[in-house]
Amino acid sequence: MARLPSPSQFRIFREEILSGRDPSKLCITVCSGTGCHAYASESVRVAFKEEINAQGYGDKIDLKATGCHGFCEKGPLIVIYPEGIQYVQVKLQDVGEIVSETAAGKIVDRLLFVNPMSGEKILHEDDVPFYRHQSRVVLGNNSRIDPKSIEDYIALDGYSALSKVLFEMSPEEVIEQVKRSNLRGRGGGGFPTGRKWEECRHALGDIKYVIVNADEGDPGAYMDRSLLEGNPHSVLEGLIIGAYAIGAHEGYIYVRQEYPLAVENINIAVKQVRDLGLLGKDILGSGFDFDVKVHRGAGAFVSGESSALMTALEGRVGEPRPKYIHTVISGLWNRPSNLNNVETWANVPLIINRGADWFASIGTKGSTGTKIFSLVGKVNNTGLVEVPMGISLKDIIYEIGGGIPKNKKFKAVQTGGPSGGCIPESLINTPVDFDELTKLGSMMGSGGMIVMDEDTCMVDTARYFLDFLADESCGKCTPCREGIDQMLAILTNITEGRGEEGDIELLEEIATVTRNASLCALGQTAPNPVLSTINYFRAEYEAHVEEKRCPAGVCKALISFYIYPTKCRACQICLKNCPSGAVIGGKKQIHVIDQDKCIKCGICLDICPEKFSAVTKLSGRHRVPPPPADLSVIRAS
Amino acid sequence: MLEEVGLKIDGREVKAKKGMAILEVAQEVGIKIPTLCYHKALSPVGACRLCTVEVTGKGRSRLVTSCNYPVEEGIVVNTDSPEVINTRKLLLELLLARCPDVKIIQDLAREYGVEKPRVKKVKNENCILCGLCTRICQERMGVSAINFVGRGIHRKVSTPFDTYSDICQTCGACAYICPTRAIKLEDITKNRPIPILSEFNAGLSSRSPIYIPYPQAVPNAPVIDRETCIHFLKGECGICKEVCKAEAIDYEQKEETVELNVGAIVLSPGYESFDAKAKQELGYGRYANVVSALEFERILSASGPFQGHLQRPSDQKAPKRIAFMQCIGSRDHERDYCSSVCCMYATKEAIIAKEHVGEGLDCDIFFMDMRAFSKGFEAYFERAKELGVNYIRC
Repeated sequence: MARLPSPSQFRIFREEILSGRDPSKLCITVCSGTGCHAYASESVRVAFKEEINAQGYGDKIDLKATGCHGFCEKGPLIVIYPEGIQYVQVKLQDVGEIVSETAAGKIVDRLLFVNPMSGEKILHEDDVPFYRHQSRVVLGNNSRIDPKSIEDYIALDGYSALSKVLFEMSPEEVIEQVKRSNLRGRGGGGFPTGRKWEECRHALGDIKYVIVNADEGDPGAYMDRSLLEGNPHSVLEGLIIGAYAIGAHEGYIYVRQEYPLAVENINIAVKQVRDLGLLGKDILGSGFDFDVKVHRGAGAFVSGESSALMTALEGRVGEPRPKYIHTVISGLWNRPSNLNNVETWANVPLIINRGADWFASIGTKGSTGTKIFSLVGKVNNTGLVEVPMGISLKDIIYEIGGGIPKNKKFKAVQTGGPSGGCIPESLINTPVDFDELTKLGSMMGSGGMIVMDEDTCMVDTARYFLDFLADESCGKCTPCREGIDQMLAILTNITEGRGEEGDIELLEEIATVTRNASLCALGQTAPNPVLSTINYFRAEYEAHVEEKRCPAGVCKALISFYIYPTKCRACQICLKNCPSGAVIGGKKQIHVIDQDKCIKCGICLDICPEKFSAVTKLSGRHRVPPPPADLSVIRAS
Repeated sequence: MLEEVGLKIDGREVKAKKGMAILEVAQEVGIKIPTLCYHKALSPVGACRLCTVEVTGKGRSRLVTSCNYPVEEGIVVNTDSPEVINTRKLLLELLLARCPDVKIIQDLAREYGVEKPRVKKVKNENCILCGLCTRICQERMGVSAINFVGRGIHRKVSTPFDTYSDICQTCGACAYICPTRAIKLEDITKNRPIPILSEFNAGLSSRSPIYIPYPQAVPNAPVIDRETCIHFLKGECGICKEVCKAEAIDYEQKEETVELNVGAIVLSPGYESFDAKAKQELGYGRYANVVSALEFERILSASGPFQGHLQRPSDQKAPKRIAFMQCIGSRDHERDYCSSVCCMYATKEAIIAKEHVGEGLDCDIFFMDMRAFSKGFEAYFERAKELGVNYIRC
């Protein structure tokens, strides 16, 4: 590709792309995001290619591999344009039928999404409740473009914002726009992006850096991953605009090595923009120079912290350093450095193209725009959701997420990744907003959202997250290293029935100091799961400590499985399936669990036929009674 | 000249250079803030968090680490607010659970009223992970033979791959700076440090590269030994120059010839002492406890290697019997003259040795001819015999 020397040449290039495309032409898109990829979408795509050729529709039907759509629960996803017909959970054997029916203008009814609430089939992707309640301004293009094709991105107005700022706006005007939009950092900090840019622009120093933080590490969260994989150019365009506004000529994209597709796609994207002259010396003939390097992270949760990330970029172990002097003044190699999260950068072209007022009109006063969440846990529709700020947690969980599976009761939602807090049912109407979530002892974080139902033990949940954080603490400062480890030890004791009076208060004390005295955000937020669960579910802690009872029936040391002699019909199903041979019994002889052998896996409870429902979990005061003297099956009278 | 800022520490108005850390300013005005990981020669890292103080400024109040928080105009620092004290107390409790046997932690914890940690998981580490050793190795010695390995609770100080370092220069700076003696040089390198022997103590003790040649030296000022100083050898370190408040260190200083007008000259040509290693049959140089008279003189001296306690160099225990061999290096085939001094100094050393150790010490002097020829010498010799010194003619 030849370099585009001027904005007019760029416009011509775009018009050429558009003129070569027929918007009414059939196009089968196969989601190639990581979720669908795990469902073998790549072999489905190859099958489509072969099938289209075999059936002789090479000219009539286009095929495209797109980025993640978000509804990963139902992958592999196929969307057929221009109409936007969506097929879910498509298998290899469905491909032939889809091609022939599509060419004939027909629908493959059995592959449509069925609304679990109403039972009706839904034809268009946009009408699926999961998508309908979302505002997919950042994520939306993922399903329309092939992430490896810059033409696709340019066809959808890509790089027009860059062209606009380079030739129509001064750096100050760009910063002003971003400030007016009130965009706040999507990585978790929530710091106003415009102000950060301004401080970096005014910082002393000839060399400045802009950095993309793509070291997403929260377990179960993959917002940034999907953006980099599905629409890498949107991030790159935002970065170049930011570099222009700040006056930086060098940039870094710090992406996790564990995201191979993201690494691949961003590298392809960087090469494409460099070839086109949208990156490098004298971008589009504007005289502005900027280049970027992709740096692969070596895998540490803490490297997502900005100062640790910069230390890692310098080639040292990714450990945080104090930020009393902000990184915009002294960051990477002690030079002014502006770091933003993937999602933040991806919002920038939208703000430039559609205006700060449009952006600020979405969301709440303090938190504008949309936010992508990774909705996981005990919720019907798991996946990536992009919602306007200010939407209530309830709407996300019930309207978009489709509620809790198996009609279980909602218990809590954890926002903000492993160091977020758990928000109880009583506060589920809370709007999603940086400040509101912080007030509740949780945080926005980078957008993790884990839904928990009544079968979740909150003490065990806190222990689980602390276990993750204990592994990921870099160990540099005392409160984070020792504090998390000691909290974990106390929580483990409590969940294993060794809790003592005073443990809860000691936990609170350690948590408070760890929060107040730790060096970086990892340690400062690590106590959130502990403090928020104690705050909202104290009775559950007390039940564990005082009564040695786990109300949710999760903590293995505190529960026993028991077969009601009156209900057991000696069907031998549990007996045969018990992995540790703990069920004693036989034909016509009621089954009894040998508590010494039982490993508390719960298979007997799951497998006991519903009509008998003879197995139960006991905890606390409800001790397992001795087996009856007569073990013969009691017939229902 | 750096800009000055005014701030308040514990109610006191203080002026300080902009950019200085709160801890440095506090130390200058005599306010004590505890710290384990701060050292003025090293970059502050804020790892132990014990130097946490409360800073109020710009309308909010927060806890910061004073070792790396730069002073700003108008801030109010509180080094002992209840929140600060509670924070330090809990941090010390956590550290005491990690290092129950480390004295510096025990002492600090006691100072803050912590006798026994309430937390359950008690480890038994000596290393508090302050990182002084890793920083001095990297920042001042320019070596980086050791660093932190592992993450979180598994963090420890070690060499790459936990094997002996082949870049360690065996300077011992890490072990020297370690506040808990957790660093063992033998874990880091196969090489053993070669002590710099003190010339003044006749090689019986070691000295550092910066030293005062001997007590009451004229001038009584330290000198830098260019043969062993890391700065002269490698261009690194340079801590002495930074910390010397008198700014007396000048690495560029050269030897010079000075012409002086004087009234009189005292000529002291000195003497050359005999190298007793030439007399192999006596064991000098082979057995640690065979010493020359000059070395023995240093052992007896209050400014000597054992602060005047009479000890055997081999095991630092008091000797029970001492044999003095006379005329070594004189009155033989090569040197047929008498030294004329060894009779009397052996007598003196035997008397002083007995004074130091007491009744339990036997001193035997093996001599050829007793030459107590000057004024009072004979009386002194007689007194030695009275004190129990045993003279044996050979």
